[in-house]
Amino acid sequence: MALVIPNLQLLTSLARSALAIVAVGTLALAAGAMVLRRRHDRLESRVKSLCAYYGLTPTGLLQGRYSAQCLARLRTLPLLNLELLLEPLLLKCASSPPLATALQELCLELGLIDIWQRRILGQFAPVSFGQALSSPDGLLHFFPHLHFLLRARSARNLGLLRHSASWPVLAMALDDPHPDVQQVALRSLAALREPQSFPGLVDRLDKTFTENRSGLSLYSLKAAMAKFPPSQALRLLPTMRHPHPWVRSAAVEILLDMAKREPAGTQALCQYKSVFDRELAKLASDPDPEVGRIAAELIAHLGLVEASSFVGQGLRNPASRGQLESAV
Amino acid sequence: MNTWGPLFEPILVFFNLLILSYFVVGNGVYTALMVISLRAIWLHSRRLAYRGLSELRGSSLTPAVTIIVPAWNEERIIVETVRSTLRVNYPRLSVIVVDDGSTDATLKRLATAFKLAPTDQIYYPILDTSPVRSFYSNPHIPNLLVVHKQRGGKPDALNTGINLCGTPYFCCLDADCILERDSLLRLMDPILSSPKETIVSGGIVRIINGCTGRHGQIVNLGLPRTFLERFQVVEYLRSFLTGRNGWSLVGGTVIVSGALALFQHKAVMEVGGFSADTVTEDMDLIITLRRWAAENKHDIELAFTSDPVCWTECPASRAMLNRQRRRWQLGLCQTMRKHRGMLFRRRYGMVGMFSLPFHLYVEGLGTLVEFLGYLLVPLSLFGGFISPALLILFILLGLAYGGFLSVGAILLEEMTYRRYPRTRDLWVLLAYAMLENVGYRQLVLFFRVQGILKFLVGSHRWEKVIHAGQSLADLTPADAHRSTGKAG
Repeated sequence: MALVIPNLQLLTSLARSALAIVAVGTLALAAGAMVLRRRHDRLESRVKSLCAYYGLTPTGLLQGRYSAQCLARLRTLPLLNLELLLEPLLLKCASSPPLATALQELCLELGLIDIWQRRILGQFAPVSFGQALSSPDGLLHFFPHLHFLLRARSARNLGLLRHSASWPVLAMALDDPHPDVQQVALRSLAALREPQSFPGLVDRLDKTFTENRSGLSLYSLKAAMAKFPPSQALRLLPTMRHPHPWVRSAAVEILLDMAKREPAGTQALCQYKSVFDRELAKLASDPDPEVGRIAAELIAHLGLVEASSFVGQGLRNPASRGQLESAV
Repeated sequence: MNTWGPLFEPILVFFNLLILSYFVVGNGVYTALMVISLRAIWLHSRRLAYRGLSELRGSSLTPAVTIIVPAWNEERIIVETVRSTLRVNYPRLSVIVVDDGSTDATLKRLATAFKLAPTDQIYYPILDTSPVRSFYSNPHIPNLLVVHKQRGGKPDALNTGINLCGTPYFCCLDADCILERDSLLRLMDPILSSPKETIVSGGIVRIINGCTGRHGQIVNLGLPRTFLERFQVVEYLRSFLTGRNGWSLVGGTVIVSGALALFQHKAVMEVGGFSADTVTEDMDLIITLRRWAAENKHDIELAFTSDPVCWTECPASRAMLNRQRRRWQLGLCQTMRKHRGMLFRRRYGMVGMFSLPFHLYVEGLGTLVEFLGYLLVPLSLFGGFISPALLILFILLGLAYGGFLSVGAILLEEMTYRRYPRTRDLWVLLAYAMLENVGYRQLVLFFRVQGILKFLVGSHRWEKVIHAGQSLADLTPADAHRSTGKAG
């Protein structure tokens, strides 16, 4: 490339320095990539061998194979190393409730549940620099602005282990300053399905558009609330009369998902047939077409008699027909 | 030369300043994007540890999605593509394949493989498209619909699919691409977890050449064998991990690869679907959506995440690479011309004030500046306008900086997804990242200049890249024995 610029000498020395910096930078980045690869490979094999040594395998845990001696040895491990060893097992808990129960017992014994609960509340145990270096995420402890990653992971762990007694802590985490922690706490509450936490979520849903206090999306709330047992359905009645159509439709969607999720869901909702019949009949002719559509779908799913006659009337009315016919 | 010297000197000085500014602006912005991406991708990879994809998968509240696959003369790979698409892990999924008047056996192969029969379908074309001839379906695969239509080009085929789409979101997938099983869930996650309205969610395109698989899914990852393909692996990593991710973080996204993107149906219908005005319809649609949102004061978001992956076959020959890059450059120029009204306009925010001008200057005009730079070097040296030492230094600096950015992208990959499991692959990638600017960059530059020339002469031809089809064919069980490492 051609270059004619006054003050050649200055430019040459600038270019020379820049070249040296870039060359060193490139080599440093390449070396960084190699070091990371090596560290990752070594860590992976170390975790595997330690898990086998301590009996921290799914089969080992399910058969209760860890002895008192093994437990004592695990207690001597630094917290971060312990978490590192348990991470693969925790991830398997989502698909294996028996493993979750076994691991929950182990974590209680090791005091990890308490540590995670305190972490969610922002109380972090001190970690030495040496310990921090031994875990891939250890250094996060030294950067308070990244603590949200640790809080969110702790909230996730409590949900994965289905530790019901942790629901008040998770409910408090819904007001965490970081949206990630709020999201994970919400999902964990949904995994625990603790009825006492449901009213708080209903309140949050009611205030979605009035109080801009959370980073939770409407979808996240709906998806979490739909996981609760259908016995909670009645608590959604006031929400079905909410002035905002999106909240009304969210309430009906939650009920619909509760009913569809498991065969017993429909039966459970049918217990409150008389209450829902009236309420859904009103919603079927809601001024918002989306609310009407979802209400009609739920009416059809539950086979509600009174409400379906309202839907029938709606179908005969050309104004509301369009919004209902697809669903019914 | 002494006679010509005074005449040429001001021109060369101006030109050299142009080169210097191109070098400083281009590399400066890309370095900044790399630094931003480094932090963001690292954080994102940490966040994946607590992301709730299983919740999305198990909920009937997760919005339904339609995958639209436009196909024109794709007989070699269409069956595998559709097969892999049907295996995507998503709770409510429909697939619409739009055969855009293929002259080969595309339709026949689909009909045979999926036992399709002609079917009746109500079709209200809200977006204008060329006429649809017939529909095919199989009652045992209720979520698959094949549409046979008169040839109208890729945007037209996509618009036909959009007309038929009955779901709130749709995903466009090129016929030569393979989606990873969780990619749709990963694309949907930012849409559903954001309290803001997200109308587009894009992911990463990776190169399939060198990988092997089974039943339409990749099981063994490896690097391709030829130089040309390996350079493209590095190029894609740099482009997606640092470039697009960085632009997304600063709110300046103007390109989301059409090969893997989830769009909100309502918003795309509002802007009239894909346009045939340019040969890069994906870039055009993104800018059109940005423009529509700014002009109508819609507070929307365009998300880009680095973990949804779609695998595509890259050109294995120079001729096909030439076609691809020529088309990309032509499309860039056409899109810039079409949306020139957005340049330096505050109402379009980051896109109007910074992202589009940058793309125009560095990716558009910069191509010519760099190319002319290579031509003017001998002239300047011959005329004695330049010190040979400075020239060599400057060339070395240019090459080294390119290498620095590419190695940075490899480091990012290593810090996060580590998709190539063998250590040898990492060495190879690093070597190619350092060498990419010697030869390959110049070759691509030459192709891009041809794209600009095509733009200047008013060409509007959509040049199809014909793949060898080998990599995608390797996804069939017969070839699944070749092993290079485990898929991540």
